[in-house]
Amino acid sequence: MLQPARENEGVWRLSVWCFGVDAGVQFSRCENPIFPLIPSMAQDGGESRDWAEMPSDALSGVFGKLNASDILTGAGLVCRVWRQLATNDPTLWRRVDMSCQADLVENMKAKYAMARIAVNRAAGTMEAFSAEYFVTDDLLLYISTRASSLKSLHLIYCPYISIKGIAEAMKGFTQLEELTLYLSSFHGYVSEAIGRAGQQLICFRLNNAFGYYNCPVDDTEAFWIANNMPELRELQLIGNRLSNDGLIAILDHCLRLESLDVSRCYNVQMDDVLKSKCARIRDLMLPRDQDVFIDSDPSDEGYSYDTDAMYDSEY
Amino acid sequence: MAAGKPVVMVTLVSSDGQSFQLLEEAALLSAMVRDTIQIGQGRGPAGIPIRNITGQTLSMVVVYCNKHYTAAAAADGDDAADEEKKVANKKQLREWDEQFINLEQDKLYDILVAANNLGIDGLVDLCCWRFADMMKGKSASEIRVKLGIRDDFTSEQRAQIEKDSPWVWSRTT
Repeated sequence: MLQPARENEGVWRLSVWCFGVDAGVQFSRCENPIFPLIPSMAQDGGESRDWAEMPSDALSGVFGKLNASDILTGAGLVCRVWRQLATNDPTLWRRVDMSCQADLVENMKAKYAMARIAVNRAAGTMEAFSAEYFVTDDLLLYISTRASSLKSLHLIYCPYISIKGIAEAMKGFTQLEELTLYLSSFHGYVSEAIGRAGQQLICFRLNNAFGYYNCPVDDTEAFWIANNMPELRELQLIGNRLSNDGLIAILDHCLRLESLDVSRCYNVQMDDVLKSKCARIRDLMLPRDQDVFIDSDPSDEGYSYDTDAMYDSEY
Repeated sequence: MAAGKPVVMVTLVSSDGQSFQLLEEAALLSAMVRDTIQIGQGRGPAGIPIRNITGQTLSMVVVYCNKHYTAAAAADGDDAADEEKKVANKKQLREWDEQFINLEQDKLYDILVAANNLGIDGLVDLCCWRFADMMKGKSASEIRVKLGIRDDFTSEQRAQIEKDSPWVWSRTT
């Protein structure tokens, strides 16, 4: 009963076989260059499918599963109807992920332009933006002035963003809850630049990529976080120079903290006081938990850099 | 299926007159069937006529509904504490879904449109996922060739596209 006779299937299979190619390439009947008038070319129902005219809610569903770059360089430029959908449906641009794209440098200008289009099409409804490398201060400001609804911002290794750029942009992000700055190397204190936007941050990830042993203690960033980010549930400070004092300040002030990652913060020494204060943290990553690439004794001379010289050159 | 529960079947009739009988609970995955039954129709011997959907497509939809109803019923009967088994069953169903939807594109189109008309959210989602997967990383012209869509832009629209996004035009023509 569930398997009725499929009268047309044999014909259809034969047609695929005749072409000897992937069944996908041709079967719009009117456009078939070889057998334009053979009605049995299309199988089920005897009619070819008009992909351009598929129901708009179904097409919306398909577009919703594509990322911004795929719509901007492919599906959104196929035909009038599809372009119209890509242009006029702001919901497609609520979450824009332009990270993890292989052609990193060559298309920087293009990605910059694409990000601006995505922001425009979201028409003030963008909630999440994520990008790698190509974002500049200008672009960040552009997003900030047009997407004040943004809740989540992920910037992965963006060397063209400055502290000043962050400070300017943050003024526009009044609803930001999640901020990730991976592999960043800013000349200054990011949390200070975040300013008032820090008040409602729920998740803050600042990953300085390389923490090292014997770097000078600096708790400025930690104190800023402690005093200005009271709502934090998740904090990731990787490779930061904070000491026990800074971490205690954070634990004492950010009372909602559930997840804490201080990997490669080698100035933090886990003593009894810290251990007891950390007891309430559900997910905890300690300074040496991620030392996959350094497995020798930290007191080993090989890891004792001339750190003062390094920091002098930074400022 | 819980013991003692009366077995209610419904019949779906395709646009080309083929009948498919399935458990009402399985058919209720479709919002359209749900609405029809709610207003007191569709339980008779004449069944529920499904317009615009041929027997070949409807048979696939019925297979999907049966599978998902059976999986959900089995999950209900399982020991709630057995997380591992739940995860394994979910994974199994996902694998079944992936195999089921691994179709040639015209069939995929038919099922997507059918699932959309019938209001079967899970199946719509599955089709959209598969269809999007087919288009990922492809330029507009590659998609046009694959799906047999005509480039119907006017010269003004082309100029606009070139202005908006100069980087893509070389890819699309």
